[in-house]
This record gives sequence, C-alpha cells and structure tokens, in this order.
Amino acid sequence: MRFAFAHKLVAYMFAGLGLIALMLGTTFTAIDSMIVMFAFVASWFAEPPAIDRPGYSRFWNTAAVVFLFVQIARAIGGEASLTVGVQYAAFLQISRLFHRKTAADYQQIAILAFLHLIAGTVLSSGLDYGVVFFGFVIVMPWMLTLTHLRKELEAQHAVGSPMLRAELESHELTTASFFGGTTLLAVPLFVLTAAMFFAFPRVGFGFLSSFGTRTTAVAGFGDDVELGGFGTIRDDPTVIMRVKMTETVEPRPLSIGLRFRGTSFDRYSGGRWSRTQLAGEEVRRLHDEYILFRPPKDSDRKYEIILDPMDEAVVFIPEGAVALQIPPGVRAGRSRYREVVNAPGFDIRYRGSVDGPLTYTAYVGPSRGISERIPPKLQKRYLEVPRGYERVEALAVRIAGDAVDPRTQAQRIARYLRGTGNYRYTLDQPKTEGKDPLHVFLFEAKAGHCEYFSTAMAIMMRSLGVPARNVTGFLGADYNPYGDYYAVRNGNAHSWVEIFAGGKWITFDPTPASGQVFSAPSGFGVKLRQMLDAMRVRWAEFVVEYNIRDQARALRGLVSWYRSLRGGASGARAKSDEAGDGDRLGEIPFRPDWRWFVAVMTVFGTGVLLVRWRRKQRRQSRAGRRLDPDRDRAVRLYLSLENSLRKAGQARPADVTPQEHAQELGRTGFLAANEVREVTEAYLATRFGDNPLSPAEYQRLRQLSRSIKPRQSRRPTG
Amino acid sequence: MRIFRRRRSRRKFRLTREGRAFLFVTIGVGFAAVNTANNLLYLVLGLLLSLLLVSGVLSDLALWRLRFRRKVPARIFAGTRSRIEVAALNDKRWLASVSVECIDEVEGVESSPARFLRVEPGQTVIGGYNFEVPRRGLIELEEMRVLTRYPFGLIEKGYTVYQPDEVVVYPRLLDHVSAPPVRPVPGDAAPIHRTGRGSEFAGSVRFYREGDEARDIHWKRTASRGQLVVREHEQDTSALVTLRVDNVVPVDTPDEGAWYERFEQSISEVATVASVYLAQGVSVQVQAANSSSPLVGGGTAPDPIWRFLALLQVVRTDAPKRPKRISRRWAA
Repeated sequence: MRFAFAHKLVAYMFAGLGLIALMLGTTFTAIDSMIVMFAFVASWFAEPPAIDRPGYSRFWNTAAVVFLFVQIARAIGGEASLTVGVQYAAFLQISRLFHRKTAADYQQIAILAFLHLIAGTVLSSGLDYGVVFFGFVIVMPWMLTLTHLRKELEAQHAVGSPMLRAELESHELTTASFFGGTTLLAVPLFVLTAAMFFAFPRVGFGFLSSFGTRTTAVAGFGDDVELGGFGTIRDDPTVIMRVKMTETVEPRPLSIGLRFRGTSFDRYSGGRWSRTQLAGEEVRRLHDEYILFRPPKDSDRKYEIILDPMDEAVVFIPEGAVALQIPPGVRAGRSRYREVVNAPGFDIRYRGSVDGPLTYTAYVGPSRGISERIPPKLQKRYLEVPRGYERVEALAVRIAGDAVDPRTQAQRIARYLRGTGNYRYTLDQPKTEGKDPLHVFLFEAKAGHCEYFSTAMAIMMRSLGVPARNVTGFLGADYNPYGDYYAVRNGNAHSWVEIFAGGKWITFDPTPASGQVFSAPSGFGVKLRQMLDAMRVRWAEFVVEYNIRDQARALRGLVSWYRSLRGGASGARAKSDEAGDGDRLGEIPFRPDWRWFVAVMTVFGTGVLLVRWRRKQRRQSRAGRRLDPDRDRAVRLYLSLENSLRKAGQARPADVTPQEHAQELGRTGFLAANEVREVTEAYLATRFGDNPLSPAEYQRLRQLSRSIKPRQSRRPTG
Repeated sequence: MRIFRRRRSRRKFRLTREGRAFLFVTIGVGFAAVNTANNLLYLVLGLLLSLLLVSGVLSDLALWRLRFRRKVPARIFAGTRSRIEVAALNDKRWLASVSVECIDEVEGVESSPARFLRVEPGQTVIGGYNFEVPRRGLIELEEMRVLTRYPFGLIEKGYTVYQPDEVVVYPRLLDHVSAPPVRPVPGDAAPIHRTGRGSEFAGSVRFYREGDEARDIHWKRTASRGQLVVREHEQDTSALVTLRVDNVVPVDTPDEGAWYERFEQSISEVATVASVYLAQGVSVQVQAANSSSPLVGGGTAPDPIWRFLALLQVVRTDAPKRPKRISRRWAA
C-alpha cells in the first residue's frame, strides 16, 4: 500500500471513530449525524490541487470563526452548552479533514479524534463506547506511527519536493509486516490498559459527573397511557432488563413466565389510562435492603435484576417480591444509598440519575397479593366507571351471575375474556372510527391485545363495585446462555389487572394464552443479539460499575490465591476468613475526601518543586560546586551572560576563556562588546579574585547581560 | 586524562514537544477521572499511560543491537558542505529498526542528522549527513549521538557512542585567484612531470608519430604489436614555487580583527594558488614564519600543502600573559 494512501485511510478510520464517539450520546440528532457523515465522506475527495487554491484556507478559517459565534449565540439562547460544544468539535474535525496536507494537519486530526474519544466518556457509557474504544486501541498505533513517520519524512525532504512525493508514493514502509506489527501492538496496549484500569484506585471525589446517558423510552410507565400503546412495541427485541436467578435449575428453561410489575393506573377516560399524582413514602431501608413488606429470609428466592436506564425511574418488581437490595454507589470513598419511593398504586420508583444500568436484587416470597391500603383520595377513583358504559356494566353483571365474592367474580370475568373463545388476541388495532375503543373491542371487533383485555376486565370489575386498577409491566423472559440470565425485551411489555379483595390487591390476567406465551426466539440473528447483550452486561458489570469496593474484593481474592499457592492450609484459612466477612458488599479500604485531594495535590506540587530545585542544584554544582554567595552570584551572572551571547549567535567556544572571548568580541566589532567586557571582568574579579559582588551590583550586571540582543551582533555599517 | 571510557553511554530519554502535550493531556484525564469517578475516563487514562509505556519499550527495541560506523571524506574544506557517511548495521534477527537518527555534535559546526527510516534485520544501510565547518583547523569528532522518536514521536530516546576521529579541515578555496605563470628552469630539483625531450624515461610508451626519433623506438613492443612504438621521455626542466604566508601578528596592529580576516583570506589564496600550480605540474612549498610545508611535486595532490595550511597557527610576538589558567569547568 502506498504510504500516502495508507496514512489517509488510517486517519479517516481514526477521525471516524472519534466522530462516532461524539454521536453516541444524546446530543446529536439524526440530521446532525447525517450532515457530519456526508461532510466526512466528502472530505475524502478534497485533495491537491483543489485544496491549494487561493482562498481555500481562508474560507475554512472564516467558517470556523463564524460557526463558533453561531454556537456561542445558540448557547446564550438556551441551547444546551454540551450540544453546541460537541457540534463545534465535530465541525473542527471536518474542517481539518478538508485540509489534509502535511504531517501537522494529520497530527491535529489525531488530537481532535482523541479529544472526541474523551468527550465520548461523558456522553455514553454503553457497550457501543466500548467498541469505539477498542477500535481506538487498534487504530491508534497505526495513526501515531504513520503520522510520526510522515513528520520524519518531511524533516528529511522539503514539503512539496519531488523527493517527498516519491517517498509518500513509495510502498516500502507501509508493508503487510508493518501493519501486522503495529496491529500486534494492540495486544500489549490492551493488556496494559486493562491492568491499569483495574489497578487505579477509584477515588472519585465527585466534583463533576457524567451527563447525557442514553435512556430507553418504553411506553406504559409514565403518568398516562393510551389504549394500544403496548401493541406497537410487541416486536421490539431491545433488551430492557436482565434477570439472574440464584436457583440452580439445570437445564435452564428457554423461557419463563415471570411477571415484573411496573406501575398501575387508576383512572380511565376516553381510551386513556392515567395515574393520580400523590406523594409517595420513602421505602424503609436497612443497610442496603429496602423493605417492601418484610425483611428477606433465607428461604426467599433471589432475582438479581440489571435494568437499563429508562425514561421513567421505575423499579420493576417481580411478583411476590417482599424486599429489594440495591447496592449503594461509591463516591469519595463513601457509600451513597439510593432513595426509593413507594407512591400509592404500589408505584416503586428510585430518585436520582443513573450513569448506567440499575442493578438490584429482589427477594421473592411465597405470599400472593399486595398488601396495600387504599388511600382515601383514591377510594372513589378505583371504582370510577366512565359515563356511557352501561352496556359494559350489563355484560359484567351477566358474566358474574350470582357470584358475590370479588375473587369469584374476577375469575368468571377473566375466564369469559380469555378462556371461552369469545375473544381473540391480536396485535392489530381494532378500527374504532370515532367510537369508544372498549365498546368496539367488547362488542364489535372482539379482538385486541393485552391492554384491551385488562381494560375491559378492570372496568367490568369496577362496574360490579370491586376496586380495580390496570397494571403495566413485563411478562416473560428468554434465557441467554452466553450470559446465564433471562433477558426481558421491550416486546415483553404486558398489561394486566389487580383487584382489591380481602385487604390485598390480587393479580388477574384476562389476556388469552396466545397473548401471554412468548415463544423463545431462535436463529443466528437471535444468537448474535444474545451474545452482544451478554457482552453489554459484562461491560456494565466490569467496566462501567467497577468501583473501589470491587477493587478491594479483587485484591483480597489475589491475596487469598497467593496464600493458597504457598500452602493449602493457610489458603484454606484465608478462604474461611473471607467467608466469615460479615460485610457482604466488602468494606471500602479508604475514604478519600477533599483532604485526600489536598494531600495528593500537595505531594504532587512538592514533588514538582523538588525536581526543579534538584535540577537547579545540579546545574549550579556543575558550574561552580559549592561556592560562597559572592562567587555563586558571579557564576550565575556569567551563565546569564553566556545565555544572552548564545541567543545573539556569539556563543563562547569551548577552548576560549571568558576573557579571550570578550577580547575577541571587541575585535570583531560586536556592538555590546563593552557590556560583555564589563560583566566578564566583574565575573573574573569575583570568581578568581577577592572582589565582592554585592546583590545590587549583581542585579545591575545581570540586567546589562540580559540587554544583549541578537541585533547587537551586527557589525557597525558606518 | 580519562583512562577508561564507556564506549556507549546509558540510554537517556526526554519527552518531545508532542510528548509533553501528551503528558499534559494524560494528567488532565487523570484529574478528570479522579474527580468524576467516571470509569471510562480511567479506561482512557490507562490507554494513554500504556501508549507511553509501549512507546518507551519500542524505542528501546529500535536502538537495540544497532551499530554505527562513521566514514569521514578524504577532504573537508572550510565553508563548504561535506557529506559524512554513516553506516547503520542492524544486528537484530527479526526486528527492523525504524526512524533512527545519528548525529555528530561538534560545537560551532553546523550539521544535520543522518536519518535511517528503516534498517531491516541483519542489513546495513548507508546514510549520511552534511557537515559544514566554518573555519579551517583540526576538528575532533568524539561522540555520535544516536536517537529515535519511534514509534509515536512522544519520547526521544538515545545514547552516545564514543567513536573518536580526527578531521583536518582544509582552508576555504577561492573561486578566482591569480597565479602568475612560472618559467621552468633546467634541472631536476623540482621536476615537472611532463613528457618532453628529456633524458628520463617516463615509463610509458606510445605509437610512433611523424617526427619521432628512430632511437626512441621500443623494438620489443614494436615486434609484439606489429606497429612502431616509441618510448616517452620527461622534460628535463623543473619549476618550484615557494609561497610565503605571514603568520606573525604585527605588534602595533590597530585593528586585530581585520588582520585576522586578512590572514585567513591569505591562507585561502595560498591554498588555491598552490592547487593551481600543482595542477600545472609546478612543485610547491609553503613557508610561514616559524615552519614550512613539505615540498610537493608538481602534478601530485595538494593535500600536504592544504594540511599544512589547515593547521597553521598565528605567531604572536607580544603574546599577553594569561593571568591564570581558567579551566572550562570552573569558567562556566
């Protein structure tokens, strides 16, 4: 491959990775991304002589200034400063790509791309960033090496010279072995990076934090939801949640029908469910356990849940959950516990932002139903039936028959909707043509998806005087063998009903079985997706959420491993010591707060000062060992003079004494010869005679020596 | 006097301008990582530090088992660019050495480094650098600095190799100089090595031409060639020019600087004139106040004359007494 082509290709790969890192966040719209990509491709064709035309550089420089002012104006006008900054960073890279000429231009492209990578760390924390980072690890050695070699070539031959052109067109440097060797560099780079990443103490003062974490929008968990919202996402394979089970069941079933409760809605009107906004209570916390109903027991099943960041801060609760365990974050060496709130309607939400996935453990007991009293404000709301639903009411009465127990009534209605074959599950939206969607579902179309079924049952139960609410969440999960967890996809979103009976809210699902059974997907594409998702989980687990506690745990593991190598008995003892550690999370080895920061900065600053002082000492000791103050000043004075003379192009040759040099300068007509003579005589008189050199005199002579400028080296023309 | 000297110094390194910027960015990322507790910044920090480490190791590999030999040209003239050849031999079995520089550092001498872009394993590459010495004299080449910025241009790593060599810089030659014609005189004190009617056999023969004397015919060769061949003779005349250089600094010179300038100019003139005469076959000798050059026969190379002139020092009759010997170490 020709050197010039290889360098250009690698530069584009590098710049492209940088731009992708910028686009990973939420700051770039689709249009922005398209514009950048178009300009990126177009810049490939910008080559001399087109870019050598007069005015070309001026155009780009002017454009950069104009765009800067536009972005500043936008920022002042209320646009997010991060957005305008990131857009400008992308523009600068595009501008550079249109300007590729010399090694310096390529160097700037590399610098900008690298700054983009750094900016990407606060824009995204997902696996996509990991992929971009890995790309950087591979491409970076190519880019830096080729840019360095180009610089060397340009130092050897003038820019634009035929010799340089010949070198750039040569195939000698960029051979397959060159690329093979530099690609192999990625291996030690990767290993060293990983080692350093895991070894750096995670101090985390928390003065700044990341922003712009991309969240997933899922319909059905906000303040309101329109009938038909879930049907449209049924085919969405995006994984929203992963569930790891502690139970050892072999083999793992390919799918499970676990229900994860999200939120509930109490008001139905005009084909739309909504939630009454009432202040919730903070969930009681014991250490890192959040008690929903009771503290966890050993007999409880444990589900470890990894929830991707969502628009809504909902904590999804498995059916029968009694308590949650949410590990605290660590910042400045201190555990930061998350606040969890339980709002009426058993709406569990967390407070505060998330930088990555939310990981928590749910303890599930055998109890059924949710023990929750109905707040007075909601007592009527749970029985509310919209006007004009007399026909629905009549149907409910007919189905319930002589049953008076709410559970029996609910069972009959649920069976009527799902088991008699009267109604069919479909993802197609019934054509309402202006009519009430529930009437159309119940009496005309007799087909719909889960929301129609749950709405119908909730309204019918309310018609019978039983408090009922519509609940949204997820039903079912598919096993991911690569990560050993169950993946809950967006398409698993589901809707069901809770009725209030016997002081508890009891779950009923009127949706026919065809709407509840989720076939485990298969095929190469699915396997690939599963592998990617498993990688995503590991990335989040080992990279994004890695903290000082994990470090301490890893260190303890290493120590125990080392002990086990030295002797089985002591190793076993070490293991038992570890097992006996009461702190499940692992203790935090130290708590770095602002005092640590000050201490580190002080040590760093002292180190810098010490190095400078040592260097100065060494310089002085080279010049005059340990001298008395006068002689020390004299030496410094002459060093200053020599420095000035060197700048003036009149450096003293090594075999000429200071006096001879001063005389020589006088002979050659050096303009500042008198000053040189005066300083030299003072130096010699103090350094080798007994004449003192007072600080004032030293300052005066030093000023004199500093006043020697290059122009004074010219000979007098008169 | 130094009795023992290492042939190769320890490796030293310094950060280049790009390296300093890189380190600055690394420190910045480190601070950001510590502040934000953002693990991705720790990842970037790890990459930056790894690059520095890998860069250090690779630059070591580039210099490892690499030998250099300097070859100084036979003649170096003051004020004229000369090329000093440097041979780089890569003794490694597998790895090529890329982007290596080699430079002789002599104070007051302008020279650019000899660059070796790629030296394949087991191969020798000849490079070179231009060397321009402003004034005549003896220059001692001692240490060669070998350095590399490979692979990323962040770290400059190098060492010095002790390779002593002496270079006598001949005086600057002038483009135009007037050399008065010299009339040869009979005798062989300073023979002009030219063919002519002399008694001395020049050692060469040629084919017979009209007008050659019959006694000059080389019969043996004529028999073997089948064509008349005659002996050639040298002229029996000789010419000797003695050039004089005044290297005594006059006692009452008002402007010593101007005198030095004129002196150097006269050295250049003598060197040029000597070379002209020698090319004409005239023998040349140069005399100074306190020394003289060897007599160089006409038609031979003027190097002995140039060497003499290169090393010629001025003589001071009023040499000032130095108050004290100031060693270099104490002086600066």
